[in-house]
Amino acid sequence: MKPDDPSAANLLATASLALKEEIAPLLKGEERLTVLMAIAAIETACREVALGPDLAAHQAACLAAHNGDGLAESLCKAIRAGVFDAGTDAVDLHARLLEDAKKRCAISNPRYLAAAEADWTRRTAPNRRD
Amino acid sequence: MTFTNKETVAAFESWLACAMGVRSAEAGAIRKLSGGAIQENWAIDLDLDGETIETVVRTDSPSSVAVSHSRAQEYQLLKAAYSLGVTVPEPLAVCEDTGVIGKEFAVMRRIAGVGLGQKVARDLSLGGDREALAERLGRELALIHTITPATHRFDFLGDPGEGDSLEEFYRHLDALAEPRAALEWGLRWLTINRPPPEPKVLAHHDFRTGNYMIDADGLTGVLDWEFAGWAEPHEDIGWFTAMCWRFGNRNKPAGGIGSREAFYRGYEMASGRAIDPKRVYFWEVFAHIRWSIIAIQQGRRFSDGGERTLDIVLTGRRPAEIDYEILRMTPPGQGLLDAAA
Repeated sequence: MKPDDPSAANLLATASLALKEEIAPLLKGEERLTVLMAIAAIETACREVALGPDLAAHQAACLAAHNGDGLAESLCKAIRAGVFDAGTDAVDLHARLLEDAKKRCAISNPRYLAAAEADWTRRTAPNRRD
Repeated sequence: MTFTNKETVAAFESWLACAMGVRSAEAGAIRKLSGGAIQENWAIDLDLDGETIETVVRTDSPSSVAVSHSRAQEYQLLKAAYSLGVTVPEPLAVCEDTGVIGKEFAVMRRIAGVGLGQKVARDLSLGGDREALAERLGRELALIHTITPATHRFDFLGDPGEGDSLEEFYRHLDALAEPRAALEWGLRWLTINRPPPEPKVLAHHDFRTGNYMIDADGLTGVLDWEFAGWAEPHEDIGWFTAMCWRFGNRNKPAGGIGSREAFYRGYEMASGRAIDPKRVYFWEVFAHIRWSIIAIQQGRRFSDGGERTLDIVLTGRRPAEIDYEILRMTPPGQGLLDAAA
């Protein structure tokens, strides 16, 4: 047995395409905005279908690496208690949390992520800012 | 829908005639303004004894949040700002009697212009010279910050000696009852790097692009006073300049519309106080945490409140990009001094 075709991702992508190419051009003002938001919601769901499993694996690995019970609640408590204020554990956790945020952003708003990454990379020294 | 009902409009008219001291008040064109998840704003053209006045009537929406001020409280703050010459809509009347239209409301003179953040940031035909606009906004904020516990008293604001923004947002985070590691990280960074407190002033608490209006020439008014309260002045500055309120214009730190220098210049000249970049950096990190928590709360209106709107579901996904900025700003081993150098 196998899941039916076209897949969930294909259904979503096709719905989004129809709205984008056939409906959005006909609309103006608030109605157009609503359709654009609907497209954004569908495309987010579409990306989550594709990228969700990788994100879940990354999150599980992060929790396994940094606290005994593997619970996000325990990790949060440890951060608040100052366990990760400094040292190599802090550097590792920060890198993993940043990676988590990037993976979530790649689902919710990849365009934002691309612009933000370019911007932060441009600031070569860690303390340069705008 | 408040003003779509004839009896409500009639009750409003007779109350207003009395409040404004006129013989007759008649509402002409009435339309609901878009935006405002927390408030309903109605554009109402009034005829007061033959004189036409364009107004906005502001009242609660069904989904108002408990942390914001009531319409009457907000009106008091607006009045204080107006009397000092802050560019705000002129406050005309306020009704605390919920027997008139069913809830409190405030009447303000309508100002012209555009407020939508995306449009303000992107449409350069608006707002006049953008550096001048940034400087002007700095001056306006400085003027708001001349309202202090020594000059004004607002019973509903609580004791200026109490209340701490960091503790408040730890409480909001706990109330979410949901593990948010990036926010814990950011709040911990703030706890470690906190500068000594400064004397509090009246902070607008939502002074950002999207909450002021501009026309072709420049600023027409600072809006949305419902979160104002006693806080450190740099908190407002960091909220205005934070990346999350630049609407994609990452290289325009003054609210996505201008340079940091222009905004600071306006603020410093009008206040006579120097802006401390380290403090601004601190409050910019805080701004992202605050916005992330607000976005999560908005998203909860879907899961807890059953509100099925696109705006709400999409806002519920915003924390990913906000968390990203928080983590970028707070690498381990980098203190506030390095960060803001």
